[in-house]
Amino acid sequence: MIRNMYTKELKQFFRKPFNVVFMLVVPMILILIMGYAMSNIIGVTGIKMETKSEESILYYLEDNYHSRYDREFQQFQVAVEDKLNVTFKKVNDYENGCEKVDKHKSIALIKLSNNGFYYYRSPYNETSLSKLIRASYENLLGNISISSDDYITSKQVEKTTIDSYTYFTFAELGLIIMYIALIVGQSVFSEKEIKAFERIYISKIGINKLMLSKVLFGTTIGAIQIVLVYLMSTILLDVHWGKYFPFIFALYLVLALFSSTLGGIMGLFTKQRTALNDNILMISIILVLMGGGLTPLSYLESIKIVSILSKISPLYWVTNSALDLSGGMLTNNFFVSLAMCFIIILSLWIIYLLKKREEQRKGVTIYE
Amino acid sequence: MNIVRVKNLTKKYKDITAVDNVSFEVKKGDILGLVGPNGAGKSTTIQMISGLLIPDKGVILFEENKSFKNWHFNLGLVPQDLAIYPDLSAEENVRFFASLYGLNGENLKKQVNESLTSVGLHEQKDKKAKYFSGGMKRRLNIACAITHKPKLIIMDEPTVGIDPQSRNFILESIKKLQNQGTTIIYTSHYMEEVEEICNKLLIIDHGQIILSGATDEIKALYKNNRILTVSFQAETLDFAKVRESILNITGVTEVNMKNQRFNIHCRKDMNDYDTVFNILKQFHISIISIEHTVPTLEEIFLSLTGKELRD
Repeated sequence: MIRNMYTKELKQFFRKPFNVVFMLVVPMILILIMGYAMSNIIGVTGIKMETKSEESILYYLEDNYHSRYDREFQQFQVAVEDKLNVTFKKVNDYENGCEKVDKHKSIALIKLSNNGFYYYRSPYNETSLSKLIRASYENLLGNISISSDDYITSKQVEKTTIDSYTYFTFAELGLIIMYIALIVGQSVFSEKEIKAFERIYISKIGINKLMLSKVLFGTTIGAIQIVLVYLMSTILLDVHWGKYFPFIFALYLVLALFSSTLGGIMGLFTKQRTALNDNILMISIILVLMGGGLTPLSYLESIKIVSILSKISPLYWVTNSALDLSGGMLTNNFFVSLAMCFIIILSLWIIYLLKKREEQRKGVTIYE
Repeated sequence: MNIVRVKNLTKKYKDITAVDNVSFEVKKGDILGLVGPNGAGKSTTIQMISGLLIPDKGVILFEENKSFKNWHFNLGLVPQDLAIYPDLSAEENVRFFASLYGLNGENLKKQVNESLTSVGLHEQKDKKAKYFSGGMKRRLNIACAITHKPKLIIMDEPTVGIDPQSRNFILESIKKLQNQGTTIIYTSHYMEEVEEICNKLLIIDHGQIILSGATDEIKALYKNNRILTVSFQAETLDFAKVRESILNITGVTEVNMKNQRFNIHCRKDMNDYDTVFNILKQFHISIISIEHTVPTLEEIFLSLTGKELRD
């Protein structure tokens, strides 16, 4: 029965050319336009720096340092300079070096002591390049006992290109997936409008399964969008999704599930179509803006208050996670993204059940 | 056996009592006509039977002892609004709604074809619903409700706004359903339809039952009544005084006016027409024509409620 409802949803969706164009074609055009428009700001080929000011890694030799780990450090230095196009600069004042890192004049400060290495980075606005370097550091210098050149070679960080096309592939994918909320919301609302809800309510299937089929439908549209964006970005734009691309797929699929649930629940309880459209669009735009969908995350992260507020948006974590994953790093951003989406999804279903109970208490069993 | 039994049903909206302590039964195979003016409580009553509203008081039982929760899949609903998907074909619409009741495979296919044939849409089954005429949409609306062969069908004004040909087709389909043993609750603003197809009648106004019973019995109750319809012309008219004067005549039970016509309800044995005409003459009312008829159900309704069935 859910399968029949789901099939019906897909039929209705694909029979409207506007839906196909808006949800499947326009997103591709958006990625191309944004990628091209922002290419000078976000950088050129090779490993990209997201801001021109972060070009160096500072290092400081602690007092009484006796060159104990010079060899390992030099191997790290060579690997990073060669692959990531950054320079190493020595500083004589540790505090001054930390200040430079805080102001994004350098990516990081590494202190060499007789006990090992200490890595300092800005606590606020860690860029993707910075994360890459930190990953390299953890790989190469995390275990001080490692000294083999072969090991260093085999542990080289996966080369990746974080150019504007890469960035906006993932950022805009998040944006277009958020529009699924509008499609699903309108679909649910239409069922109320044409009174199909009444027939569905008295049938064997009921409203809960109807809602599930709508969410499933929205998630399917999301899956199609992900596949299309993957094909377009890898074939036309040379965007590298990396070895973790199944994780990226899973990430955006969960985002599609979140978007569908949001739209479905709002479609059920909003009384007017115009209010539904306005509310969904407003929520989507705010989440997208805060998630770096229109303005690069690095700009958002450079403003302290915005940086804090951005973390409320699931898209912030999703975009960051996707960039990490495409760069070959499975970071906490991935798990935070999933957790955040699932928590919100669960909360929405709880709201749905509570609202349904309240309506029943009032003596109404359908949603007008 | 009673297909549905309603007992002491009450529903209030803030200060308004939409349905006030209503009780009735519908036997298997009956077509119950539920009629009343706008705001009478018809829709609220059928929404409670359909499970779409929870009553404040009262009980609704199906097949003597089953609640809505255990019986709802035996219901078919033909709402007043067209509950069909415009982008799906007729067959897809019917198939979809039938599948909600668990029908599948060959059985589903067979019953879909039967439903479309019964409403005369088999030839247009592949056409999208948005291209249908109003009458065809109404027929499709019915087909979507009957495919799973429900025991009880609730039809809320299924013929509103359609051409006479489609209406006749629908009425014939309903009679066929009754012949197959389906029970129907039928609401309408068209008393002639109710009179044609319903064997039971329930007149409701202000949330209360005004009159109920077999249609023929109700008509028989009023067979000793007559209506004197007088078409007139007058420059000025004080209807209240005219009415009061005519009501004083022995045997006259009710006087109302519509479209330059007086409808004077009287007993069969009332023959003091001269007095009636003299009163009209006194008020300078010129008589154009006179008709003497047995009251129709609509006229009975009007005399009972004081309102038109259609505003």
